[in-house]
Amino acid sequence: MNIIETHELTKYYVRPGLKKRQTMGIEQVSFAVRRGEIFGFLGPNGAGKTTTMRILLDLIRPTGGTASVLGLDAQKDTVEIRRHVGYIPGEILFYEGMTAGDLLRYYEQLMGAPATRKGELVSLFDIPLDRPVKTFSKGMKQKIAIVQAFMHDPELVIMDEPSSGLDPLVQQRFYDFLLRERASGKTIFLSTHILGEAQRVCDRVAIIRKGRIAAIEDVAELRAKSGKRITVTFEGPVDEADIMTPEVRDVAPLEDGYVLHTGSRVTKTLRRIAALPVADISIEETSLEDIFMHYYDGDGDV
Amino acid sequence: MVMAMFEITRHEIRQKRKGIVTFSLFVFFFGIMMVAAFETLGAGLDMDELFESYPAFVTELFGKSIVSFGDFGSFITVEYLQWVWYLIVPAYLALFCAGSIAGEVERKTADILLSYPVSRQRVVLEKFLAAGAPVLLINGMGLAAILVGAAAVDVAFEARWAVYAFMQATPFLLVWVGAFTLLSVLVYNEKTVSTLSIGAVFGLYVLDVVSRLVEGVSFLGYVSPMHYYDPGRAMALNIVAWGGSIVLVAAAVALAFGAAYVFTRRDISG
Repeated sequence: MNIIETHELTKYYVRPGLKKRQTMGIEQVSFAVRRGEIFGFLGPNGAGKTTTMRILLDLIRPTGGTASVLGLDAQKDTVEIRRHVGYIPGEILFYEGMTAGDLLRYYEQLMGAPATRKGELVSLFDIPLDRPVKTFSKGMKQKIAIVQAFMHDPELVIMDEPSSGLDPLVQQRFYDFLLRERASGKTIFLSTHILGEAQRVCDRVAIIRKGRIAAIEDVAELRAKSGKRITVTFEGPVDEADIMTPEVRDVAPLEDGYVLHTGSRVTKTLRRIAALPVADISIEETSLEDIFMHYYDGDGDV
Repeated sequence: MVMAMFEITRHEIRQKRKGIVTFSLFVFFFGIMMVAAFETLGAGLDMDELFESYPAFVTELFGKSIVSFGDFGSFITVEYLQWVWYLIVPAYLALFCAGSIAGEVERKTADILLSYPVSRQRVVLEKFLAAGAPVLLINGMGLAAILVGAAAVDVAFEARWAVYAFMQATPFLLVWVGAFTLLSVLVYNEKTVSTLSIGAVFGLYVLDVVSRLVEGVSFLGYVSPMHYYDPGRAMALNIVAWGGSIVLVAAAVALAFGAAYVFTRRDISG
């Protein structure tokens, strides 16, 4: 049994108004998440990641297609499903006038079962239980959201852009935490627009753009497609041939330099560049957009 | 977990406890003030003579079911019960209820709430019940003010008429709660819902008045909850009839379940 399974899931949003207008949320989205894996939905903002997750939790209803979670129908059996699922939404807002401890206790009551891991997680994420929630920073609220999602030790945790708002150190601790959870048998379905995050924690990713899935791949394949983007400007005219190495997959000229896309290895290329009169250089991770440009055609179809 | 029920109700009450207590105290002290006003004005001043000089419709407007202003029950009906229970309390409940669902969806706290194993129906019905707390407390405070006040100024007044009036006030107020809850699941904007709700309170009050004063449109009154609850009947006329209350109970239940049904069908915009 797949932990999550969707078939041709489609959602059109109806815009209110005199003329009935529809906007497409997602279209023909089909994928499956296996038990014990960390599966990522990778795509830019507005791609349809949140829409898909909200359908799985019956917060919104699909226009077409089917979705099942833990073998149960996502719409018909939603209350039963939610007994075994934790959720971290994209935007975290809590009730005013409560302390962190009150909040977690309320959620524990709503689950109708003891939150067996509450103590462990509260220490792990350093949650000050007596402080009122409204005094918390975005990062702290994110941590409370993580605790409430995991404290009942659910089989599946769905998280929408879970590391947004976390500072880099906490982010790393969070990724380590996710990997440990997976090791203990949990299934995690997360969404992100950050390629590096998907590569760090996911086993497989579905690449989604403009409401459609472009590809479903093992992270290893994704790594093979990504690499570095080097933007270099020179003090004098430099021939393209002077910087080309087998590492370079793509080169685009600038007025006074080049933008190079390489694989993950850059040694030869950097040596070549270093020998030349460099005015300025910046090296970044390949962006999601770059990958789309090179490996999937413009509008997200494979 | 032993108490696996009504967590949402209890949470809602806890969140709004300050407002509930403050408003209930206001209702109590306003009541005491009105009893004091009766003591000062009522016995001496002949409001009846004053009223006779006005055109008939003014008498109708204020004196729906009263005996005379010299009578304690009538005075309290006009100066306290009609103002407070017809207008002020429903307006307070409008603000109480508007945020209950529309506010949660708007503020996105509904997202985590509905990620827990609670059905949409349960959310609506538990929030409806939560408003029962201020309704009961406000009615209790009103009753206390009248009885305490009457005893303090030594007015001869049979307590049971006030008890009936407040018993009947409960389904009346719950109809408002039902209507506001229904609005709260239809429009996911707290400000709009509060405005519409308070508008409905005043609008239906006017409708009730118009239905009684204008020739040939008495049928309009059937839509207004005020048509089914008249505190003066018990307080002043000492008549107790439960027909209106039965209609109001049925309406409140229908509105609550109607709201639950609507909420079950809608998307929670994210």
